[in-house]
Amino acid sequence: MSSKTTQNDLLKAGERAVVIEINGSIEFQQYLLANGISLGSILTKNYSPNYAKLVNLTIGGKMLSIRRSDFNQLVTIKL
Amino acid sequence: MKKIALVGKPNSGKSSLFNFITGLNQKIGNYSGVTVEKKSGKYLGHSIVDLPGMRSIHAVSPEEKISKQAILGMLHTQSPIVYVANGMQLEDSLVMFSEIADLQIPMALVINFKDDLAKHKINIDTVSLENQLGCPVVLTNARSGEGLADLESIVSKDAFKVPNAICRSLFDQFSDHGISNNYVQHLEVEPNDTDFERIEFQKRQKIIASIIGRSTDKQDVKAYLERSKKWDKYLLHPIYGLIIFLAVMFVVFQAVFSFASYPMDWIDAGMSQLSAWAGELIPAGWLQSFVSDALIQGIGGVVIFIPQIAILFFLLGVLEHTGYLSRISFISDAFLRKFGLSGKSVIPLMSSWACSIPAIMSTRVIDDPRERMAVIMASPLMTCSARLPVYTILIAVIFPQNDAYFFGVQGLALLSLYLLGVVATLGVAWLVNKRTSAPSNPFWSLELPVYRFPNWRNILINVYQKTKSFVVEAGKVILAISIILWVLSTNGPKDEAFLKNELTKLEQTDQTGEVSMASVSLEYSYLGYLGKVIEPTIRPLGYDWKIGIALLSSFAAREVFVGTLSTIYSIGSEEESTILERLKREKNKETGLARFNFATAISLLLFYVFAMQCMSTLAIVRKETGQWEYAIYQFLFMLVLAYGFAFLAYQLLS
Repeated sequence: MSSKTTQNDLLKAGERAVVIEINGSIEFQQYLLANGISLGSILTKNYSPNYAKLVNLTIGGKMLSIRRSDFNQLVTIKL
Repeated sequence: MKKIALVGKPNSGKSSLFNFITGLNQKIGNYSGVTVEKKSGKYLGHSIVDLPGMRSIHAVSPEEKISKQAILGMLHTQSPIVYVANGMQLEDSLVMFSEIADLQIPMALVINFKDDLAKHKINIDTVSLENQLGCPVVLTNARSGEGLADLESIVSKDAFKVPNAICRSLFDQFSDHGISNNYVQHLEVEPNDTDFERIEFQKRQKIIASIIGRSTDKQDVKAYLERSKKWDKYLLHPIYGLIIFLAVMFVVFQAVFSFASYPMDWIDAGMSQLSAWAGELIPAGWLQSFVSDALIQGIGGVVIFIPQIAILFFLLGVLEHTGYLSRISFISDAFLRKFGLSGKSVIPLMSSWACSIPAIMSTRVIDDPRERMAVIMASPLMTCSARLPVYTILIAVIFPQNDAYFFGVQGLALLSLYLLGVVATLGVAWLVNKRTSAPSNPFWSLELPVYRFPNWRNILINVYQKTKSFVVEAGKVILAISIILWVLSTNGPKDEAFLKNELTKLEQTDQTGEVSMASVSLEYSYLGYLGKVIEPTIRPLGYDWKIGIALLSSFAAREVFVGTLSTIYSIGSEEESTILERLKREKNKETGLARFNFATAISLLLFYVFAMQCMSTLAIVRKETGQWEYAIYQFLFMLVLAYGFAFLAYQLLS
């Protein structure tokens, strides 16, 4: 596991981060864009219990749940 | 009469607005060639279409692509668009508004959730916003109807305006002939330049943020989400969340399974009464039989499902409107993912324990076409309530009423059949997911809406629409099959004199006194002949032609199996204990042993675990998939499974 994805895993509930890089396919990047996630987007990680393998985020005033594997395609810096 | 499109992001309150302005004056169908729901209605003499929610004009999912094509189609007609924005997510909503505004179609912007804006002291200067966007802006609360008079005024005066272009200039092309714009062409091809799209998105975000900044006094909506985030700590918790989830599922299951049984019994009794009245009013003959046994019974076969459909959709509406439905998807996602499904499948699957029909109709909450197809194909394998009469009779024939430790043996047998249904459902769902050619959304996300009180009006309108859609669409097929089965069971090549002669012969040889004209007529009907024709095929399963007739007639509905057996064996009563005694006494004429022995009963139980045996389900599968092919394929697939397991069981156990 790269240090970049570890950064996401270490993000705790209530902490904010800025997206600095998005990995993955073109379709995935378009999908994130449709959901309002782009380079420079600021997101807040919400309560995300481990069993669900999903990550809850607040982005653009809405609460969004995405798969943890997809979240790990984002490179973020904690604010 | 104009055609107006209602466009917006999911959870913008678009459907609430649509329900409010059209009331019961709606039509629900499918877009041609696909199973995406098309809702249209009448509003102030105009036709209004509620387009599927989309997150961006750069559509990703099949539903979004339909909305995108509909919007692009409006370019030529210049039909107006009512764009519904969530006032509490204004920036996010207006980014997509700007994408559509750049198409230069007449528009009006409806900012919904006026009540939440007031509650959080967020003031929106609609005049400033109108000036900056270039089209009319109204503030509404689609739940109460507040502010809708302004929308009415815009529609009746045709005051839609082509909004100001926001980022259209990004697509300007300069040449010797002057400036042209390729925004529309850009949207018509599959996008592949993510850098350009990101730049476009960020530019839109920046402009919209600036417009909102000049039109609102407060943009921080953090407090708005806080209460829901606190609730999520309990409702998504691995222990409390699971307990609450199971409790909610228990209530849903009980309501659809048990509470619905009362109105279903009333309908059943009402239909029997109606059938009896028809018998008294119409002189004996084919017309009386047709009205009593085919028409009334066929209509009864449709109407009987209304309580389950209405209760399930009412509860689904409550769960959806409160925001808990998304949390249910969240909780169950990890488990269902192992079978190629997602958390969005849990409600349809669990509803199938009551009845596959409302369950298959509820698969519309699943936005991934492949997953939806997998659930439609697999959910009839869950043990529905119609299987219970068959299971209880057959279990009682072969298992004693003894207790094993704390559990009754019969109860354990029933539980095993339920578990087998679950395993088969998940297995088939996994298989369909792997094999189907239906498109799949490559990525999955779930918006968790804020918790709020349900909007009863919207829920009841939805219940009415779903029930109406079932009665009208599936009802036609169910009635047609009922009539076909009636024709086959009441007609035959032999005349009445032959039947009377056969009855006399049987009465002379039969020691039990259990023969009647009804059983003789059924034996020599076309259905009876069919039972005999299929006897060689079903003999390896341990069945004779009598069971064959029961299998054929129970194609109408599984529970008919018990009723048909009581007719064949001339029991004259559908009381479980009476049928049970008769089945236990029935002998195999070739071996002299019990006809319903352990091997045959297990074989029959397995047949009913896997076989479709429900024309109503087939009708609803056709309606939801839009094609008979899927329904036929599903019927044959389940028949092969049923035959295979029944064959193995009988051959191994006999």
